[in-house]
Amino acid sequence: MPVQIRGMVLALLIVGIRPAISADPEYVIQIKNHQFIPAELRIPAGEKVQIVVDNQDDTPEEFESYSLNREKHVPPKSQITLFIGPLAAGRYVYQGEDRTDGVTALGVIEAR
Amino acid sequence: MGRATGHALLGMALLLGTERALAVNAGDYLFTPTVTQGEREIDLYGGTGSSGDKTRAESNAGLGFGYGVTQHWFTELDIAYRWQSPVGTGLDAFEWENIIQIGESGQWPVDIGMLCNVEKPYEASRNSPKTEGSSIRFGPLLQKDIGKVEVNFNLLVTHFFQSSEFSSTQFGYQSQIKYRYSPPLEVGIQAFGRFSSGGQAWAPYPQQVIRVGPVVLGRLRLPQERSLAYNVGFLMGTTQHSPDQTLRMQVEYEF
Repeated sequence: MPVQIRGMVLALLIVGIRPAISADPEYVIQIKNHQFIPAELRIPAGEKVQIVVDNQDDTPEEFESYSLNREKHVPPKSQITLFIGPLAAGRYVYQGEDRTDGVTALGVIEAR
Repeated sequence: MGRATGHALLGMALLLGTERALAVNAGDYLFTPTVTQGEREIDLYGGTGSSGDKTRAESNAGLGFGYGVTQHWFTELDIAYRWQSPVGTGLDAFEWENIIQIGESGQWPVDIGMLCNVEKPYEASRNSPKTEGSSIRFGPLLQKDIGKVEVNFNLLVTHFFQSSEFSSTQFGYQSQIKYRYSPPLEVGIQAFGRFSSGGQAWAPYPQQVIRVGPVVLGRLRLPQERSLAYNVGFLMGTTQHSPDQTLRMQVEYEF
C-alpha cells in the first residue's frame, strides 16, 4: 500500500508540474559553425520564456550572459534548455565560448 | 599572587569559559546553487576572526579543486588549515563538497540546489582543537534574481558522527543580497549564522553565532575562457559567541 501511495503522489506531482513547464513559450537558438542562429531573438517583455539551445557543432559551446545572469555549457551535438525572464524591455547580449581561433559566437535577445 | 600567576589564571579562566564554545570558521564562504558543466576551479579561501566575549581568535584557510561534472553536479576536494590561540597553526580537515543543482536556473520562482559536504578532521596532531569528529553538512541552497539584485539563502544542517562534547546536530544559515553592478564589481551584504551552540541544537539568541557585513565581489575575464572570481567580506559579530570582527576572502581561478 505505501508503494501505491508513493506512486500516486509521484504521478500527481508529474501531472502537476508538466503544465507549468510547457506553459512557457518556447524558442530555439541553433549553434552552427560557432554562430548563434538567429543572432538576434525577439521575445515578449514581461513574460517568462523557455529557450532551447541546440548545438549542432562537433565542439562544445557555451551560452553566457551577465545581463541575463546565465552561464551554461552546451555539449557538442546536444541541446540544453534555458528559462529566461520575465525581462524588462531591452537588449540582452550573450556569447559563446572564447575560442582560440578568435571566433566567438555573439547573440542578442531583445525583449519588447 | 605574582603577575605571571595572575595572567596564567586569567588565561585558564578564559579557556574554561570558552571550553564549550564551538569554533567559528573565519573562512566560511557562501555556497551557490548553480553549476557550470566542465568548469574547473582552484579555490583559495580564508579569513581571520578576532576574539569575542566568548570566542577565541581564529584564522582559517583552505585550498580546493572543483569540477562541474555534469550540468547539475559540482564537486570539490579541499584541504583546510586553522590557526587558533593558543593551539597554533595546523592542518585542520579534509573536505569533499558537492552541489546538486535541481532544475534549471529560472525554471521555478527560486533556483534550488542541495549541498552535501563531508568533512574529516585531521587527527594526526594531538594539538588539534577538533573534538567533533567527522561530519556531514547538507541543506538547500536557494537563489532568487530580482532584476539586478540577487538574493541567496542557505539553510544548513551539520551532523557530527562522533561528537562527544557538542550537540551532534547543528543548524546554521548563510545569506547574501548583492547588486550586480558589473562583472568585475558587485556589492552586497553577507550573513553567516549558527543557531546551535555548545550542547544545544537551538540555542537562545545570545549563544548563537551571527556575523553580518558588507561584501565586494567580482569576476575578471581572462583570455581563453578563464576567469578570476573574488569576494571579500568584513563581518561584524552581533552576539557574545561571535567573533567581534571577521575578515574573509575567496579567490577562484576558473578554467
